[in-house]
Amino acid sequence: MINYLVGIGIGLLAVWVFYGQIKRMKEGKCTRSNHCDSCNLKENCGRKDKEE
Amino acid sequence: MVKNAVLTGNPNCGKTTIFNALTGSNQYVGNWPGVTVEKKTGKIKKKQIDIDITDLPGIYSISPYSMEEVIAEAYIRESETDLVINVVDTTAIERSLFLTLQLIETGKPLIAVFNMMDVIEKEGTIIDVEGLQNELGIQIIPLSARKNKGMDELLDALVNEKGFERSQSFQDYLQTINDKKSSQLVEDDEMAQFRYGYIKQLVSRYVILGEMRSDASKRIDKVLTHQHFGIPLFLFVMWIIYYVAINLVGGVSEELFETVLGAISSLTTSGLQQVGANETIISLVVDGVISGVGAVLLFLPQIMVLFFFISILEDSGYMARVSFILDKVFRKIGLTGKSFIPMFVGSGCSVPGIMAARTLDSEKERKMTIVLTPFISCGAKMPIYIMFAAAFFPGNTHWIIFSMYGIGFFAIVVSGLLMKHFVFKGHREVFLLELPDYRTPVIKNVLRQVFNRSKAFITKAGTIIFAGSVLIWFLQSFTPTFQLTENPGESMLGYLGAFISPIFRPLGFSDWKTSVAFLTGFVAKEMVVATLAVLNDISESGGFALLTSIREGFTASSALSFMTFIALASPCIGALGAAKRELNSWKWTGIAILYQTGFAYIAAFLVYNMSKLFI
Repeated sequence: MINYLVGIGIGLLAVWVFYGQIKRMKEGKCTRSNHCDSCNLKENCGRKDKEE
Repeated sequence: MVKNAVLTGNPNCGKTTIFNALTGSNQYVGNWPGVTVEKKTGKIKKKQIDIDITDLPGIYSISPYSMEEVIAEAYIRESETDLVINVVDTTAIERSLFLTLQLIETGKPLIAVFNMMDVIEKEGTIIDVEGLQNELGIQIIPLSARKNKGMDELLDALVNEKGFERSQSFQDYLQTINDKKSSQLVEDDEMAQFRYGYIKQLVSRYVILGEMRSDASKRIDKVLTHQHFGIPLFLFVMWIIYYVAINLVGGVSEELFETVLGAISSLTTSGLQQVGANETIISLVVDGVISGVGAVLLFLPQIMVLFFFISILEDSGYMARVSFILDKVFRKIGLTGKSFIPMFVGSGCSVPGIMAARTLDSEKERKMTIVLTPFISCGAKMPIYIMFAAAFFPGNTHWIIFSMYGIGFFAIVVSGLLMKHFVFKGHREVFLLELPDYRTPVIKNVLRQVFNRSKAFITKAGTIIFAGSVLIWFLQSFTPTFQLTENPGESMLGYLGAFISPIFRPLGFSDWKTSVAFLTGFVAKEMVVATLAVLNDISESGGFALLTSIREGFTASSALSFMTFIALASPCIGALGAAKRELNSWKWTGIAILYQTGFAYIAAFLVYNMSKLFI
């Protein structure tokens, strides 16, 4: 049971991260969503509070 | 009631600092012209104020001389802005008032913010703010953004706009300007002269210039921008920074972090064994996640110290001087010192570096800078350099890392010369740069930069590096028929690595694991370290033996060759996307990738074979 829980949990997390990156890329948005605070570029930004 | 306001002013007058203070944002600020390359919007959410505010890139005028000025003028005239907040750099009041006059001429409601009052007060300069208010008929708020003084008065002014009558002399000025504009026969130069004539009158009536003006900056500049010592001094400053960050801090922190991460691996292994997890799941967590993410985080202390020193240099005004002293070198390769700014920004991350090239006026210089900027190693390559340098050149790690930037600079010079002679022939550009006064770095700004950049580094390790490590673990644990394998050579990744590794044989690193690590670097450069950590089973020895495992797979020469290849080869996919957007051409982007990777291949080949003679 624990094997399934840990394996599927980590796998899903990784898929979620990749899915987010690919989705942003498809939308033509910046894929560096974790990079925002040191970045001055609003253009193509994927972060919601910057889009508002 | 104001709903939409726009912040505008000369480059490096403190607009973004005011924007951050008003909106609570953490936008990047620096003491050189052209930090902001893209308009930013935010919301003022203080004192029940609800105003959308836009921070525009710095401009000297709204005459259409540069791309930024055309964009800023269009934005101010055509957007739904109902208040222009003009930030005036009081240390250069004559030049700043030129834009103020032009903004008043547009007829848009305007508040002037007289920034850097603390600096001019120290110099003994006195401005009769009230007199200027009554002359120009606009509200003027004196403040000091860096010291956060005067912000409340600015917020009050946004809510309770005060009306002022224009003086007769200013009304006459506006009438004459309008007549000149409508006559169509008057040249821009003549209009500018007329405006400056009026500004001279204003300054003589309302400003008493201090005696000490910029004397300290001039004295420091005599040394730091010296014709012969300027460049060696810059190299010395950078060497000191790398020595402290990489050798002094790195020596202590690597050992400490290896012990901590080794303990985490051991604890996790025993914890998972106790709850009945099987070997595969333990391997996924320990060899995949902890090794991959941990290997990148291992270098966080050194990188934080580097960020700290670089932020101090940025905030002090020294970086603008470096672009000035490098102008004579850049001129020889068909660029100007202005191209240094995008390259310096690129030393943090190539994406904003490439975007910063848009502040360059000439198309030729812009294209060259976009292609050449990735040769300056970004911060994500730092863990790779530290890892290899610490493994093979302990005690001299800072020299090795320093030389990687030297190789990058050498690549820029050689490539620039080639481009100048074969691709971008033509006239030389004029380089005009305003040197800001030196300022004592504000510790709050410096720490905020360190915090933001470190947070970005950790977040990246926790997201894309985590996901990448899991994927690498999966691909090296399963065969192409999805059978679990103990032998990574039979895995999916093993086959892929074996297929591409012959390409790298002439460079000295034909091992399939290294070839795969290079490929994963296209996603994010930190992935190179994570991939090598996962593929080398670094937690197996009971500790966290990243450096030991690296020593087994490389020689000193092949390590140097690999670092050179990583330093110069095509950047990550994010930077390539930025280059495509800025060059607006697949053809040019393709040429850039092929050129950078080809150059890297030749350079790594030379480094490998030449270093074998000495090491």
